Amino acid sequence: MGGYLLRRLLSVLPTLLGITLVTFLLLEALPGREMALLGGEDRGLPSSGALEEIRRAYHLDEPIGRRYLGWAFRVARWDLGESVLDGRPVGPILFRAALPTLALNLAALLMAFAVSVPLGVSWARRRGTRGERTGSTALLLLYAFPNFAAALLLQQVFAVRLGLLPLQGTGGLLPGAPPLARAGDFLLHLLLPALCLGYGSLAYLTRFTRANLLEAIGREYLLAARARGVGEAVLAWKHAFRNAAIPLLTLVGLLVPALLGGSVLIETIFSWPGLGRLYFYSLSNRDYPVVLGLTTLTALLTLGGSLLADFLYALADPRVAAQEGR
Amino acid sequence: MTPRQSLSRGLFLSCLALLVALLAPLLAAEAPLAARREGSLCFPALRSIPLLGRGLDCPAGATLDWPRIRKSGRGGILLDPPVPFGPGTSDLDSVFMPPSRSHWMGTDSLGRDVAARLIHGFPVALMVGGLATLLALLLGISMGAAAGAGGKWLDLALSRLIDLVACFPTLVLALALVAAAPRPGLWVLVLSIAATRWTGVARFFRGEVLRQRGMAYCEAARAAGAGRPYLLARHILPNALSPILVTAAFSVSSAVLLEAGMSFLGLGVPPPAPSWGSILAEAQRQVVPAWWLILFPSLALFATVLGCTLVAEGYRDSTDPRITRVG
Repeated sequence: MGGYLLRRLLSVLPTLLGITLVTFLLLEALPGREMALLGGEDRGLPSSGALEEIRRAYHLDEPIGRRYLGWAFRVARWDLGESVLDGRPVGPILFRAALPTLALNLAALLMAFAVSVPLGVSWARRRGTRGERTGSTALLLLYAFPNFAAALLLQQVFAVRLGLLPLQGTGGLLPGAPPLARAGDFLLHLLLPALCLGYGSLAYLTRFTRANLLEAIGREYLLAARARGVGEAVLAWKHAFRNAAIPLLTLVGLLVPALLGGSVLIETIFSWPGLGRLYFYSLSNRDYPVVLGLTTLTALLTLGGSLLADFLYALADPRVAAQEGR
Repeated sequence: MTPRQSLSRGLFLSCLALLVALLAPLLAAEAPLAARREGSLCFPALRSIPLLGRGLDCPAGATLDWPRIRKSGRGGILLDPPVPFGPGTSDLDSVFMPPSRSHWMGTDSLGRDVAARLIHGFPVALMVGGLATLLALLLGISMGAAAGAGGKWLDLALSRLIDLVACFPTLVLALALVAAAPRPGLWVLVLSIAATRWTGVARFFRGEVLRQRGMAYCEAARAAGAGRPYLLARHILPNALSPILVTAAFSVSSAVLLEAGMSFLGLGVPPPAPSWGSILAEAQRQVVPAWWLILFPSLALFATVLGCTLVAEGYRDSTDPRITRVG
């Protein structure tokens, strides 16, 4: 098991290097970087002398290989450089944006699981009924409705027309307000974005739960439990679901990066100060240290997610690790 | 829904979308479908058809101001298109009109008819989605074939490359590619979307090549003198085709969504061209709540995505023997 863990960890390294290299090269191609560094917007075109100076000041005149290596070594020491827009260090900027994104994605995942797991379990028990067919068609329709369009619609209905929910942002109360009120306010702000981010995966998660449960239900130990007189509900939840839950857990690891990528649109629409919005903002403003840091972080999370999925799977099913070891 | 129902409903929706896309110049146009000018019958809306169209236009057709002619009630208009506006026809006297009899999906901030822009958004969305999928398939199949049949080192290198590209969330990578392109354009968009969507096919096809290569029929073909390219194209690819087609159908819907999302952010289809994403963006920019700018493009996106998804699922489930056996 330990050897398997180590091998999987080592296999991540070349991919990570490749990711940083690709991002670095891509950002090399971004036009208008010197202009962003100059910070000028309406001062007309800078002279070639000023451009030369800025290139020298930011070491842009050095060969690209050396700059990449320099950046990579600094990243290894968790020094991501400074934002070219306001000079703040990139690390804290990312950290500050990561928290709202984490909260948003966790809420979305929780909502999706809270709905789809009970649905999947109950549909596996009532396989082929009318209720199951209507339900799964409804989830398919929901899946096909694009989430950013739904976000705009829900925003119009609940925030603009009805005024029931806040329009955007993370909270409207002053820092002096009691913590409980601020938490409630935060949750209200969280509701719509999390809903929009999470509902698309309902169809998939429900099907996945249902399929795994159906497979577990076919096993002999369930027959044995039924023979002992265990009730149907206990049978489904306690005996079958426990076994079906393992692949579901590994799915979480793979789902996290997808939610992160999907949150660019949702966070922009709801002005949610997370990583997705930060990515779009820094990309449009050519704030390349932030973009570089962000893509590295995203790639880390994606790799971490798939590693986590592998480990969970190996934990659940020791044969995986044993097979790889051979 | 049974797989067959799902497939037929999906095909119906997709064909409908395709039909709207093909007929867009006739469904929404400034010029009438048929008119009588200077004593002869002419078809000004057909002008945009290549080669043939010019000859069908009215005499001096390009100089005619059809909206004014229509307003004056004369000028020999015989038959108007269902939506008598072009996607770019702006009328600053009727800005942000809610849906009414003359503009049945309302107008936007420049007084352009939303229905006309929506209809002309069909060819844009389907073209970007279709071309990006086609390119992604070609790239994915050739990469997968190279990795599966090209020897150990090539396989190792290409597999790492696939892992690497798959690590980026698609929207993140596509946005970066568009931003890095020297100038915006439809092709840049298509290429960027294709560049993010080929990894799944490549991974699948590599596995198929490795799996099928050892099978008896491949041995037989090799013994009969089949070369490697022939074996790949004539035997392995057709055997792996139906999962690839399923992926393609899913891929069209996600490419359409990606295009809409990028246009919504302002990095998609360049402005004068109509895109559902840019209509949605228009709604987001306004303080005045204009629900018609959100609802109608959302429904168009929904119908397209639903059509592709139903086709993909129906086809997958009706070609997968395990599922049909379970019922």
